[in-house]
Amino acid sequence: MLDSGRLSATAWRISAALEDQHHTAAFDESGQGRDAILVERARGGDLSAFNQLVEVHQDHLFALVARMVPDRDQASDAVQEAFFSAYRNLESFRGGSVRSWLNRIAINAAMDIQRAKKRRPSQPYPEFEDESWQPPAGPEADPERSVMEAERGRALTDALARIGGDQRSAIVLFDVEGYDYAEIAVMTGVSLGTVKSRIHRGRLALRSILADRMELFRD
Amino acid sequence: MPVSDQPSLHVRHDAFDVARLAAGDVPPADRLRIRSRVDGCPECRSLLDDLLAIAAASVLLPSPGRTVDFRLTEADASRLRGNAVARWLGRMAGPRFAFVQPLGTAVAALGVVGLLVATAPSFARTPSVPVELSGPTAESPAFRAEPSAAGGSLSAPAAVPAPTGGSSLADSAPATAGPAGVAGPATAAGLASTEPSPAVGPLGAAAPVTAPPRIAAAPVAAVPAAGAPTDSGLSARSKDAAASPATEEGPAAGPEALGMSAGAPDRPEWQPLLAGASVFLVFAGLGLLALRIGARRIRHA
Repeated sequence: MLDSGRLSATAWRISAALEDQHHTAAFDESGQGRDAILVERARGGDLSAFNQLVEVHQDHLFALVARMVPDRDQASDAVQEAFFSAYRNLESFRGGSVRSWLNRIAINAAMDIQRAKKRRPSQPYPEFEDESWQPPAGPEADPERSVMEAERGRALTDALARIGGDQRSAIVLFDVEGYDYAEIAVMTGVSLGTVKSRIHRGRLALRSILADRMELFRD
Repeated sequence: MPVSDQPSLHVRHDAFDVARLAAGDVPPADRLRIRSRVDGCPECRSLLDDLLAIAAASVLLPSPGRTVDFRLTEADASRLRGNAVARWLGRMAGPRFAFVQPLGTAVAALGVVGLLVATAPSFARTPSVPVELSGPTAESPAFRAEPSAAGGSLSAPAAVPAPTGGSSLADSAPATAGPAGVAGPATAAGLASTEPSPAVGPLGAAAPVTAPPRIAAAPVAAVPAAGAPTDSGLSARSKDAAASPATEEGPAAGPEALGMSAGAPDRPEWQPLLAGASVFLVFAGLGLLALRIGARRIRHA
């Protein structure tokens, strides 16, 4: 039989994360009206309105793109290009969630960067050396636990940077961003089966890379 | 020995199935089989645990910190906005004007259909008799119709070639309108675009004349001026057909006598208009399509 204790701990972590995502989603819903107003103002030529949108979404977009494009400079370029593209194509926004719309633009920009990088490889496995990658720790956090989580995050980030770009994008969109298979298929322009295959094979690749560090992930 | 066989057994196990199980992607038909295999193989069980742990850790992956401010400057905005034409094209490329593309397609298709309608009947009514392009012109005396007093049948024009000559029938229309009593040519002009020469139908098939399928310019207007003998007694003409001004003129050109439908004489009136309108629709539709597609290409460039 499976280790039920370990599974329940894993399930608790996933449910906690999902709950956190639900809170984020609720916050997003409340912000949709504000975003729609800002988009309308930006369509009318109000640059400050568009810049307010940028302020609201740039952290999230950068986090998303930086996970898909391990090189931080390239991630910054992709996010900047995404905002440029969004500004150029304000007229094409059909309503709905501005966050999803920007996500799609940013994902496309990130994939373009990855394709360009595949054609012109520069650094095979760039390292994440910036200490700002540390997760935020509250005053009540256990220092030992914080260190463990930071180490786990670094190991996983490093492993993500070493798998294929398509698999990395699929895992980030599925596991980190919480999109479902169909949404990822639409965003990345591949079939549902390909999305599933990329996620499964990407996880297997991560496990292979992290084989000697799996104790970090076993509480 | 089951214990010693375990590693070799695991080699044959598909890790992809375990990954599918970890993601909850296994169809119900396979779930029990894969589940039992995972339960019976320590390596597979360990792999499943690891995949679940990695998935859980991925959810909690820390957010990378942003070091760049991505807000746009005025220079960026003006560069991205472009000039007035680019902005207008950008609006045209937007979803608000998505209807332009199907509209353009529909308008162009309508125009093509109109062109087909305006031109197709001429092909359908062209007799198989070869066209003699070197026939006399409309001014030729041989072109005149001479209805007989009694039977109304034409005598001389039966052997008369159609006024096709080297010029188009449309061009010959004014000439046919000149002398009073010249009935045949007037109707020939009136039917120029679609019908055989008036000398052909009722007077026997001897006349090797066929009007080429052309669009007449102003054929019917010339008909009343012809002053040709009306009600000449062509037996086959019906009263309905006689109601049309074109049919009243040339006795030899009666639509019924020519084996045509009663509405045929009206065709020259609307045919050029339809053709013109159809051409306009085709160009307008293609223009709309080009505008929309061009705007989208420019925006994506």
